[in-house]
Amino acid sequence: MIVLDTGILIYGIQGKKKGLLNAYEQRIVPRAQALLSELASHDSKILIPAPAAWEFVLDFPVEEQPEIRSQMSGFGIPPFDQAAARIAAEIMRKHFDYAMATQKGQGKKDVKKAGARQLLKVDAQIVAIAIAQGATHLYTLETEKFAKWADGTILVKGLPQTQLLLPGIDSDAADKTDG
Amino acid sequence: MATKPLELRLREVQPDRLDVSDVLTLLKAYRDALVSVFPEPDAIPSGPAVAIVGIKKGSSRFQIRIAPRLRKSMMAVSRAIVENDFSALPAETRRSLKSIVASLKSARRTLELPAYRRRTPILNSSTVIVINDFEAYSGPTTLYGRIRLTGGGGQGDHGRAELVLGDNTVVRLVAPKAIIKQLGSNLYDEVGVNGTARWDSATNIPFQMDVSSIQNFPKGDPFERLARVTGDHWEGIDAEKYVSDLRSD
Repeated sequence: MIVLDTGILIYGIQGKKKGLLNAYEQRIVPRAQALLSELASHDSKILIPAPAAWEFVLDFPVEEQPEIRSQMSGFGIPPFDQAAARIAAEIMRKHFDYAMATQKGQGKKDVKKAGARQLLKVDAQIVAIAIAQGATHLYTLETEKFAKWADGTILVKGLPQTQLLLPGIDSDAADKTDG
Repeated sequence: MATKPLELRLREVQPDRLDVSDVLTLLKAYRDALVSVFPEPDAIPSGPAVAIVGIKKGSSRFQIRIAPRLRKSMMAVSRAIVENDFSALPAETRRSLKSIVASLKSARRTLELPAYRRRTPILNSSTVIVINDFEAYSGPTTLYGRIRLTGGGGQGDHGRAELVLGDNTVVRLVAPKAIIKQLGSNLYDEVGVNGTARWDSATNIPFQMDVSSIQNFPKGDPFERLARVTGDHWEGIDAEKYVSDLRSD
């Protein structure tokens, strides 16, 4: 089973884009398409952890959300269950130093604040759900942190780096927008 | 003594990388497991319970003989492993098997035991053996994996199957016959299974689930389906920034 973080799911949708591309899309769509090919090569179903599915859906107006949720049934949506909660708690405690490192030079109070940040909570939940599900791969835009937290239990991968470009796109122009 | 030697086979391990203490733990634990299955109040042991009669050169295959009085125990242990159901074994036996699992150290390294009904019992470090109830916890969830071995070994109106997670953890499924039938039609497919799972407290690995329903994945490209309803919603959106903004306080 392959687990995707929210950003990767959005890139996957963007990878389906076929029409005219703006500057941002010229840079990102080929990589997103390369990602889709890579995912297809695993021949495995894709899981979107419930917190990531929530992040994806909440950007839509309430009246559109039922349809979006319904079409997400092509993915598995594993919950933040008891096992994931325990694993997330272990991750948060074990890697509290990470929170300290991100708050260099600040006092203990700020370190505590850093430990409670929404960022850390959602990230830990996603990694924990992937571990609890016995997934083999986790795709995220936070590869370094997630790999550290997964501690070798899952292969953590990011968006593929690729020079693959869509027909008609000037490679120089695309490179300039990459930086 | 039985006449035909049996085999304990360690796989994914080079003989010259094998620590003798691990071999000792493993063989002793297997002997202890067999001896503890059935009480023997009047037993007067004659000869070793488990004897090594050979080691295949350059391999990690131990040829053994098991005392006739322990043949039934051997079958009970092999059956429990094959069916991934240790609940019928005494706590002492489960403790011995758990020490074998601990000595295997990695999920790739496996120990094959004498067969039960032509099926090879296999232990590795991912095998979950719970000795006491307090070592497990349970709760509702959905687990995703491949279905195998449906239909057999059930009692009454319930049947059994197995769910193999991505990391090869095997979860024993218990479900009403109607659901087992559904699972049977999804053999080797990847599905979601809803129900109440039991996990090993020490490792947070699930080992059993009472299934209430299953989720099939619809055919086709899930991104395509979703892209169709989301339309141009994500066009030009910087996904990295979107997620970063959401997760910041």
